[in-house]
Amino acid sequence: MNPRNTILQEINEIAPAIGTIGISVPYLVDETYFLQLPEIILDRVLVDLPVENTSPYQMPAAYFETFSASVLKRIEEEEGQEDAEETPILNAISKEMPFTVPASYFEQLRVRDLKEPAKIISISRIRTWLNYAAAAVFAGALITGSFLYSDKKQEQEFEKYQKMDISSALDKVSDAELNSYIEENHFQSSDELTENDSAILGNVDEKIQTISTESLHQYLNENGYLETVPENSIK
Amino acid sequence: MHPSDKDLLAQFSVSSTKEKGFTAIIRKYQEKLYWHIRRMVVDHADTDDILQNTFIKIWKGLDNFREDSQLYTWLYRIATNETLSFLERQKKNATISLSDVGVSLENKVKADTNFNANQLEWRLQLAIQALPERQRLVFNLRYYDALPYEEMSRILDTSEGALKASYHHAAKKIEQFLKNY
Repeated sequence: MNPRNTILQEINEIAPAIGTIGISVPYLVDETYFLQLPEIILDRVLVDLPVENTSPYQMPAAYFETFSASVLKRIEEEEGQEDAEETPILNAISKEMPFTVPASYFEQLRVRDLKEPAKIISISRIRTWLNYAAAAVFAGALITGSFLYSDKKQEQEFEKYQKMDISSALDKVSDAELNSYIEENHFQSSDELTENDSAILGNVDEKIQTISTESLHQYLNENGYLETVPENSIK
Repeated sequence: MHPSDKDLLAQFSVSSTKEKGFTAIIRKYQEKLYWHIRRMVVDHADTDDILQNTFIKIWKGLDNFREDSQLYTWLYRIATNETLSFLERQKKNATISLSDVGVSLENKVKADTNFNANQLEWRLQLAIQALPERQRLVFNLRYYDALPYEEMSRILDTSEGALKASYHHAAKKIEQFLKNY
């Protein structure tokens, strides 16, 4: 709240006639009014409160404490009765095992367990080997399949060319078409190849003239297989 | 010396001390709220009726009160709303026009057994009752309760600028009334 002086200063600036009157209110109220008011209001408030739910019925003492146990007991009894009705012969047989265990077997088992702890095999290691084996099988299947497929294809191609009659097919092609094909693809006929070879070999003869006889003999000695070349192959 | 609002709210929040805490809240704020209402409705019986209803509403709503705002601001807000609702009902029941409301309240002031027209305090009350309802509220909260405009803004849901303007107009009107009386 603001200090009273601030309020008075403010009102004196706006309306000085009010400031001279002060803040006392001429209304009166009974002195006991504020003493009684809290009690009066509280009475009214509590009357408005909802009444708590109360039941006229009574139940045995500690009913809910034993309730769960009595329900479980009843379930067991009813299940036993159902078994007896559905499988009377089986139900008549005792559930006790006829097998016997050597004396103090379980005690010894425990001792052995403590002395020799079981070997722990990592599951992840077994899984790694399984992964390798699966990858190998897959790779093998892939290679075999591709090999069989590619071999079959080659055989098919070979059979196709064997059956083809190239001579009769070429007879059907006109000379003009053949010439244009040869020109376009810069084809060299077998005759042209022979002429070129002769030209090249002719040059070789000239070059050999410049090599000394000793060098030629040395060359032929080092490359003995050249002596088997027939003479008519060199023009 | 009254306990702090925080302590009172803590008491009220525990069921075993709820009534004790509420009684302490009434004791702390009953007079402030009483005079806030009384200056608006003039009559004690009406004020008592509105004040009791105000505290019953406070009892019902205090569990949901958000402690991020001040308790007294919230209490003033409830008291103001109850007062305005009461005045609204009175207008409807009496089927009087808005301009006659001030006249009716002036008559109530004059009907007070202690009324003395020569006393400036009574004249001031007559001048206040002649104001429009909103200006009356603003003037009372500022002049008598010395509330900051910020708090008044929260109580009346009005901007501080509008409240300052209302207070200025109200003060000027009162001064004029007093000069002419």
